[in-house]
Amino acid sequence: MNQPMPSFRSALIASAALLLAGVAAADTLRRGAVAEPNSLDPQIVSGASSTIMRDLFTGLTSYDSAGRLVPGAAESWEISADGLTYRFRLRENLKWSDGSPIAAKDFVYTLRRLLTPGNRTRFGSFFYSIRNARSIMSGELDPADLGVRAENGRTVVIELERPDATLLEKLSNYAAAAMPQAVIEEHGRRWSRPGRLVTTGPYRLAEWVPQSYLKLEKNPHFYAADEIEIETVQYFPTNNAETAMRRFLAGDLDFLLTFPADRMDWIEENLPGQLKIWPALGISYITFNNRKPPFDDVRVRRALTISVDRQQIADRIMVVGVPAAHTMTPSVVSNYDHPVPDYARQPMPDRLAEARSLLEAAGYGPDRPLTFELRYEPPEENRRLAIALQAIWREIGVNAELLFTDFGTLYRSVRTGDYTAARFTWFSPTDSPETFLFILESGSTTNYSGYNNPEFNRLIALAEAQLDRDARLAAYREAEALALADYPVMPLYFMVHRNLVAPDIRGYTPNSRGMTATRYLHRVK
Amino acid sequence: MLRRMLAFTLRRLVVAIPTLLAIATASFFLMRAAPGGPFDTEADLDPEVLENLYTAYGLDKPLLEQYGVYLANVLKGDFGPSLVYEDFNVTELIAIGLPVSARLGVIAMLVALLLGGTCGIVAALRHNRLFDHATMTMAMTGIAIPSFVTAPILALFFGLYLKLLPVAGWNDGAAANMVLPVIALALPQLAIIARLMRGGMLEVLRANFVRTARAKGLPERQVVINHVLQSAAVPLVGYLGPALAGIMTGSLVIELIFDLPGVGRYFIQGALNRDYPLVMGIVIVYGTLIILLNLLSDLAYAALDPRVRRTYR
Repeated sequence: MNQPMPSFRSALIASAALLLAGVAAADTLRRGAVAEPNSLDPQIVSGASSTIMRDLFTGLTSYDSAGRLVPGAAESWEISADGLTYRFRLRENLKWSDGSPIAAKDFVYTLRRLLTPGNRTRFGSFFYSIRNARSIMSGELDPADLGVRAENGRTVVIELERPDATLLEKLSNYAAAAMPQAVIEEHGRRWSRPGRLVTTGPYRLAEWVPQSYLKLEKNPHFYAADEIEIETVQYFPTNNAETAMRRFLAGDLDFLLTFPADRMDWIEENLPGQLKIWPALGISYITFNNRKPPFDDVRVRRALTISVDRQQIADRIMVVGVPAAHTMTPSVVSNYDHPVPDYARQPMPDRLAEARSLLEAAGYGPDRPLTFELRYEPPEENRRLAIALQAIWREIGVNAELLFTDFGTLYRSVRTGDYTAARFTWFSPTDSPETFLFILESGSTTNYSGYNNPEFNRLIALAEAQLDRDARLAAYREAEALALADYPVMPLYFMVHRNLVAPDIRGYTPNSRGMTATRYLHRVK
Repeated sequence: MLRRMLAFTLRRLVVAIPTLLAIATASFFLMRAAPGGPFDTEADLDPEVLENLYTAYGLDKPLLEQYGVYLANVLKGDFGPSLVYEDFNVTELIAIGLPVSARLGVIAMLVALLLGGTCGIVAALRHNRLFDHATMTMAMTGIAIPSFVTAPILALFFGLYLKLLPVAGWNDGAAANMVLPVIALALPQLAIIARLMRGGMLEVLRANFVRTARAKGLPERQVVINHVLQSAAVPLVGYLGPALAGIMTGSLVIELIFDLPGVGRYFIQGALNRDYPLVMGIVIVYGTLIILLNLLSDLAYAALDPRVRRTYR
């Protein structure tokens, strides 16, 4: 079987020729390494599919090619002096992808639907600052009581319970884009299929074969359709990053949203210029369960936190150019002065010595070593991280037992508080410290550590109520510094976006939000 | 004879019903016993949102009630909505994925049978000669090397190095996209089939009735074709039923490595995300296929071996 039969070989060559002929037309784009969407309903789809969804739906606001906030379906807006009333003016001749007009009432429908219990919607809590939103979501009030109304055909008014500095950013989310009430009511759960899904964004859905591909074509009724060069974009979901990488190398895919971390060196050497890597609004951290031993003792938390050299972790273990983290709020968050704790500037030998004495004071030593379970989840790079931490902590006499679980098990265990320590990732939808600090606020959904500091909560509430940006960020800073001194969680490193982009693709500036909207991309000849 | 076989088939089909029920019951409760729930991978859902999701999918009801509702729906042919692919019903997803997996599986099995069977026969006829040792060494290697090793190597060599074939993707079932997955699927099967066929042949070649046939003065070619092959294939037939069911319902590894929209990927995504209806649906389809193909292979047994036929009642 070493020599293929001549006819077999010619069949192979013929099929390869066919394949190559079909690739890389100038106005098409093939994107990979995305997750298969759990739904194409913009209010049901999970955050993992945001790149696809932003190609399909545009909210009142939007982002430009560098991730800066720009007008979307609304051409302009006014904010009242108390920061509680937003008045949006829609663009003239705004249309659905089927050509019929979009009116202000469509946005009212969208936000009411988003907050109505029983609709399987995911992003309702983004908009809890809107008047009555939370009470509607919990079933106490009727959706009609929501603080959103259509003043006339082109004016949407949103009334808030409290000032919300990130509302404009959040309104760019597809979950708050106009949605076609008539289509949804006619087709129910299946309204998101090709031929039915009516969109408002730069593209509309042409085909969807689950686990195979989604094909999007330019929406001729989009307000900026004239500026779009890519006529057709196909998304190829994959569960295997190596496969996506091979398809990219074979020229089958033009744009990968991520790639395997251990290929970093090879890519830097062989594909310079195709690698786009930059800081993201995300953090990787260890959450300690503050409610029970051993982590109810601040000395133990401090000892573990100061004994790890973050720069080493970032450079030697993670290898994908991640910034070291000593705070919860990433360094890339705009206009924020990061309260970096003092230990970060101390030499490592001193930190290790202090960690040992802290553990001794807490009652641990050679005859009674601190032993605990550290949970972590896929992908493979987390295993490397966990093993490195285990080795580092062994130096100060701590025995970390590693427990590898799938996502579901890990999330369930931290949510119910049934864990000791776990590695976790958080990405923020907004360029602000707010959601990073929610992680430490009492009663917050993402507060897995159980950290509870009334003074911290008070400072956060103070920050939220501040209309002035600098005063708000200063209050956040004070709150973060206060919490970090209690070591409730251990920041490890900040996340990065890492894309692989074919050399002939142009049109976007890497940005912390990871916005790579297809509408701005184009090919150079 | 035909009546006895018919009765045998009917009896087996009737017995299949409690078997499937047992499979469905066991997998229902095993799935529920696994830690975590269907929407746990979306880490940041608010408690209200999560509660709404559970209500919307009836997951807030008592477990026994959910089980009853599930069984009643399955009897009506409704596997329910998927919890991971929320715009689809489980039946729709299986209808999308199973044909892909089945097509690849059947082609791979045919290739494996043709090549593996031939190798096994020739190896047995050249017993202890160079061809025999060479093919059996290759077969052992084929069994020993897992497909998560062969598949990427195939993709790298034929796709990236020679640039002859696509490295991955389904491309709506284009022939070029099927070549590498079929090879990767067929290789281990080919090796097993070659060994089974050779073993069967060697045993039969030494049997008395073969010696008799030779003594009658039949040419060796006729001895092999008319007398040996039929009996030698018996162990292989027993293997083929479950193996075909396995390969048709999708190889997770192959589907992942070649980005194929088969049912194997649904199964693992379903299991990882606790998509109870999806996993249950695939388990029931898989169970049914195994039962049917086992029955077929038992019938084929009987057709090949009169002694076996007599034991069926």
